[in-house]
Formats: sequence, C-alpha cells, structure tokens
Amino acid sequence: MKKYKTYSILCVLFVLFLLLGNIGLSAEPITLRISWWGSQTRHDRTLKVLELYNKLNPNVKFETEFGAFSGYWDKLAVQAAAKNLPDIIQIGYGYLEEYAGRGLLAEITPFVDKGIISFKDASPAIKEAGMVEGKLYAVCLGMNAWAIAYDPLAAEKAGISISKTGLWTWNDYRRFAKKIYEATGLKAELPFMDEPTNILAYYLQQNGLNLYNSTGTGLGFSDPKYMQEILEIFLDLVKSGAAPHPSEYAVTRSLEDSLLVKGKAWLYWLWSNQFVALAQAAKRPLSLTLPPRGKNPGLFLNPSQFFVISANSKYKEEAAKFINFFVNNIDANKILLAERGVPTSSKVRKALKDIVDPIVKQTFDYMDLAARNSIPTVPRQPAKASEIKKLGQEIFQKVLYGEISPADGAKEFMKRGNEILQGK
Amino acid sequence: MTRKSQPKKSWLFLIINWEEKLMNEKYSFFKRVLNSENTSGYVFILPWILGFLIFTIIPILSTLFLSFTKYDLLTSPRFIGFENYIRMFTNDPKFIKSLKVTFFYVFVSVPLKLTFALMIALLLSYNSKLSPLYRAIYYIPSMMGGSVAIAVLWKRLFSSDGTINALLNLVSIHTDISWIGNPKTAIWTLIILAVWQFGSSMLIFLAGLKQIPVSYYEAASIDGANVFQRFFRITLPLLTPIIFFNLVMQLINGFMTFTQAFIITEGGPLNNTLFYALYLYQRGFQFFDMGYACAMAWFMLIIIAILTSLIFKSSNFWVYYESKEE
Repeated sequence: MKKYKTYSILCVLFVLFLLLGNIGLSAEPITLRISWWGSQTRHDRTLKVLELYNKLNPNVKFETEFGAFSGYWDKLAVQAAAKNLPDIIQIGYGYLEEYAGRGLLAEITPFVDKGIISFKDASPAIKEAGMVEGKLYAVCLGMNAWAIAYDPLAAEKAGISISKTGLWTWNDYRRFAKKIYEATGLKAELPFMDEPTNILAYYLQQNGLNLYNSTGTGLGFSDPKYMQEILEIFLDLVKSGAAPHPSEYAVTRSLEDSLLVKGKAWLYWLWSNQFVALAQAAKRPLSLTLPPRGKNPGLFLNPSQFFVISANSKYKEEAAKFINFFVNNIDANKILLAERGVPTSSKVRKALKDIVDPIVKQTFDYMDLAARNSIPTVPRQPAKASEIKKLGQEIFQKVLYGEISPADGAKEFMKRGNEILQGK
Repeated sequence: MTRKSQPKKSWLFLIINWEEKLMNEKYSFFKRVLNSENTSGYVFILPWILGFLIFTIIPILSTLFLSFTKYDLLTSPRFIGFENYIRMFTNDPKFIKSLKVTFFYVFVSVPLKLTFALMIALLLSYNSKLSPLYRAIYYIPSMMGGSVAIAVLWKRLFSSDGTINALLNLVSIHTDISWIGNPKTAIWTLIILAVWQFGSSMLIFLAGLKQIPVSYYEAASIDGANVFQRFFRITLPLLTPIIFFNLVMQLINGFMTFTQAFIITEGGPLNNTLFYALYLYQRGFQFFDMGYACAMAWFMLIIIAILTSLIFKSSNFWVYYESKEE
C-alpha cells in the first residue's frame, strides 16, 4: 500500500514535470543576467526599467547583480576568470580596453547592422567611444563630467556669490571655502577621496598635461610640482578647518552618507550624473557649477558607463534588444531620468527636457556648460589605472594627515607611479 | 577469447566481467570487503573526501603552481619562477607594512582575548541559577563577530558621529575624532572587536575548569591557600593544555583576519590596518595580480607553520598534562 502511494505520487510529479516543460517550450523563456554598480537611486530606477521590459516582453526575465562601485570589479574579475560573466554588464571607460582586449566581450557590430541596436539619434562620437581598436564592443549609456555641487544658501549666508559658469580661480576656491566656514561652520568636502587621482588629472589637464602618457607606460608628466601644488591647496584647507579632516574619508562614504547630505558641508566634488542621487538624498536645493578654472580647460566629456554583452552569453541578440530599449526607449528613459549621465539619443534628450524635472534640467544645463570647457579627447585609462588610483589615495591620505610634506608626497607618487606603469 | 578482441569491449562490460570473476573466484573475499565496517565507513565519508579533494586539495596545489607564475585572472598564467617571492621582499613596501600590521594585531589581540575569555570563564564557573543564561549571552558575540553585519555596526559605533562619541559627550568628554579614521586608534577598534569575540575560547576554558577536581581546591583551602594562590598553583597549571589549544587556534585565526578590516577600515587609514589577508585580496582581485597573491598565501602558510611548531616545541616547558605525572 505504502509503495503504491509513492509510485502514484512519483507519476503525478512526472506528469507535472512534463507539463511544465511544455509550457516552457511554447513561451521560450529567457533569463538574462545583468549587472551594474551605482547608488540606491540607480538601483531603484534600473529595477523599474527591467520590470517594464519584462511587461512588454513577458518571456524575458532578468537575474540582477548590483551593488556599490567598490567591490564591483573584484566580482567581475572572478566571474571573468570563471567564464561566468553576466549577459549584460555595465562597464566603465577605464575597464573597456582591458575586457575587450582579452576577448571577454561580444562584438556589437552585427546587431547594429541588423538594426537591433540603433545609433541614429546619437552623435558619431558616442558610437566611437564604445570602440576598441576599430571594433565596436560597447554602447554608451550617457555622458558626464566632473562637477562641483554646492549649497547656494550657505554661500549666500557668507555673502559670496558663486557664478554658475564657474568663473572662479583656485585662489577664489580657497578664499570662499574659508569665508563660508567662518560664517556658517560648513566645510568644503575634499575632492574624490576614494579616487583623488581625478583631481590631479583635472589640474594636470588645466596645465595642458595628462595623468598618463599616450601609451599607458608611464605618467604623463615629469614635474612633481603640479601634484605638489594641488596637495598644498587641500592641505591648507584641512589645516584651517575649512575642509574636513581626512579621517572622515578613511571609510568610503556612499553618496547618501556624505557630509553634504548630513548637513555638515556645503561643497561636494562629483561626476555630474551623481547629482541626481545627491540632490535626492540631500533634500535641499543644491546648485552645480564648474570646478575652479586654470589656464586651459580641465574637464572632458566622459562616457559615464557602457553596457556590453559578454562573449559567452547565450542570448546575445536578446541582450542587444534590451540594450537598445534601455538607450533609445523614451518610456524607459523617463524612469531613468538621466541618472547615468546625459542620454546619448537626441530624441530622448528632447523628451526628457519636456518633463522638466528641475534636477535633471540642472545636470543637462551643466553638461552644456561643461562641453564648452572641455578638452576635445577622452584621456586614456591604462590597464594599471586601478593600482595608480590606490597609490594616489595613499599619497593624498599621507599628505593630508600630515605624515609627509606635499613635496615629498608628489615625489613619491611620481616614483612609484612610474614603477607601477612600467610593470617593474 | 583472444587478446586482440579485448580492446573492442566497452569498459562497462569489462567491469561486469571482472565483478563476476571476483564473485566466482573469491566470493567470500568480495563479500567480506563489501560487508566490512570499514567499507561502509569509507562510503559514508566519501562525500567529504571528494569535497576535500576537489575543493581544498586541488585549489591548494594549483595556488602553489600559480605562485610561480604571472597570472592576471583573465589570460592564462605565464611561468616566471621565484620572481613573485623575490619581489615581496625587495620591492614591495606595502607587503612589509602588512606583515607588521598583522603581527602587531595578532600578538596584541590574541593574549588579550585569551585573558578576557579566561576571566569570564572563571566568573561563570561559579554555579548559580542564571549561569547557563549568562553563558549563552556571552557566547553570542563570537557567533556573530566575523559577520558583515557586525562589521558595519562597528563602523557606525566608532565613526566621528557614532555611538562611542555620543556616549563620551554624555559624560562631557567632547570629541569628534573618527576612531576608525585616526591612524593611531584604527587598529585598536579592530582589536576590541577581536577581544569582544571571546565566546568560543571562553566555552572551552569553562569546560576545562569543570574538569579540575574540587578536592584539590578543598585540600588547598584547608592548607590555608588564598584565592590567588589557588588560582596560580592549581587552576592555571591544570588549565595549560586548554590554554595551549586556544592559543594555537586563535593565533591561526588571527593571521587570517579579513572581513573586519575589509569592511570596517578597508585597510586604511595610511595602511595601518592593512592585514595580510586583505592585502592578498587586493593584489589578487583588485590589481589582477593573482600569481603574486598566491605566493603571498604560501608565505603566510609558512609563517603560520613555523609559529605553530614553535608553540608546540615550547609546550614541553609550560604545558602540564596530568597523565604525564612522574
């Protein structure tokens, strides 16, 4: 009797199994794995877009892997080594060359030829940004640039007016920071403390130089004075109290956790697209302006992120369809609201301008401004860039903590930086 | 059957053939093997053995191979001999720094933790109605201690606007230093975290304390020994095997500390909490320098092996086993 029962249950299960299999076959369900990094705002919006796509294409499901920037590349590297990369990967400009060069990414050209991915509303430079050695691997999701977000009320209280067009010099920057600190007790946050090489690169570009040389085999400058100067500016601010002590940055802070959001600072350096998340977290009006100017423009228009398709993906065409939807669909972009940078498609940009989300409008206006103050090319990011960034962070900390002088810090950076890039 | 025709047979057939042969020729032998207790024992631990071989031994051996190569995870490894090992000592200040930091951490946190665990164990060894409850409560931290959640909590406790500073402000010590961000205090926040996880050592101590016969203490008190004399003359000597065990285990654990530094301090400030395991991880997964990371792992193995064997050697002088009484 007991045996009979077991058999009957097994039979029922078997029939169910067959039925399920059949249903599956008729709808051809596909699961696309997709990974990205970002802030909470980005996670929320991206998940909503995935939901929308799933509603329109019920057979496509998504398996998401998302988190903060730190740790993202570690995980991706392991997945790459295990030949287990997600189908669709968000990738940064600095990593594109490395991943494409090692054959980990699928070429996108066939999908563009078939019309699955369309670049027709984007400028040719956008398509070019996703190319490595003449082959197209990546679809740019938006453009951004370095920027300064500040609290206009704090500046007003101190009787300072900051021009929206950023007509301030590095000396103004220092003076304003000190004045506002005296008047309000609010500090000017230190720039990009998890990646302070950004501020160095900005300063170098203002002086007509680059952080890396054109072949990626060494630093692009030989005089340590530039790094010394930029270190001196911020050391001075830290000493006077107008900038927070570096120990505040010993632990990486998320955007939502920044001193600006907590109401302890009035100025924050960021990538322009991060402004959307920052303004949302700060819950008070913020303005965007250009960083202090120098002899030459120091900014560049940066392809903020790309979507790429991994070479081992089983559903490359489905992945391509989704990427096109993500970049060109107006409804999708009305959810995303330029959080990944100013959209590449002119049609999408137009549609978004109609929504007149004040924060989005601010970033759009800023990008127009930045475009007029940028160097024409995107600086190269060599494969060793991540180690240089870590070194830069170390040197900035050492100097701002007062362990070594700016001059010694600059020298040490030059020496060890060149060693790393030359591969020792 | 000629020899030539044999290779054509499928392997399955050969096995069946072989089995039959066994059954016929040495039926009793085969049956004996199948039915013996050892066989069933091996079958039962087979999953573990397979797991051990596939997930432990093979990876360990491959790291040994990889430690002699330049391997960036994405392209295939290239053999470079002892270059990784040489670079560690000649051209990597961060490696030396991480060694120093790790040794400091281990040599401070392990004795502190053991002392603390022993003290709590002594307190809890007095029988009261509530002592089982206390035992459970004091054990909780060591169950959660290595977790990410506790690390995040620690980050909040010791940040510039964290709970510790708020408490200090309450007793009118006004400070807004970031305990984690200050190069002098950062490592101590991690040491406190380690000491806080005294639970498992405490339980082992407690078990050891229970084993000491009460009659020794009775005899000693009749002879007029006070509390301290009883502790240092009876408890401590009889507890040395337990201390020895705890010391070895905690030492090994200490050298492998990773999560705490990875989450709480990220190795900073100024690399003052750059633990060996953390630097190894950075090398391997952030700088794509897996060959070097493997070499570091093997060097750590050697350090732990040497230290452990030193402790074992020294145990002749200070560990007291009752059974060895002359």
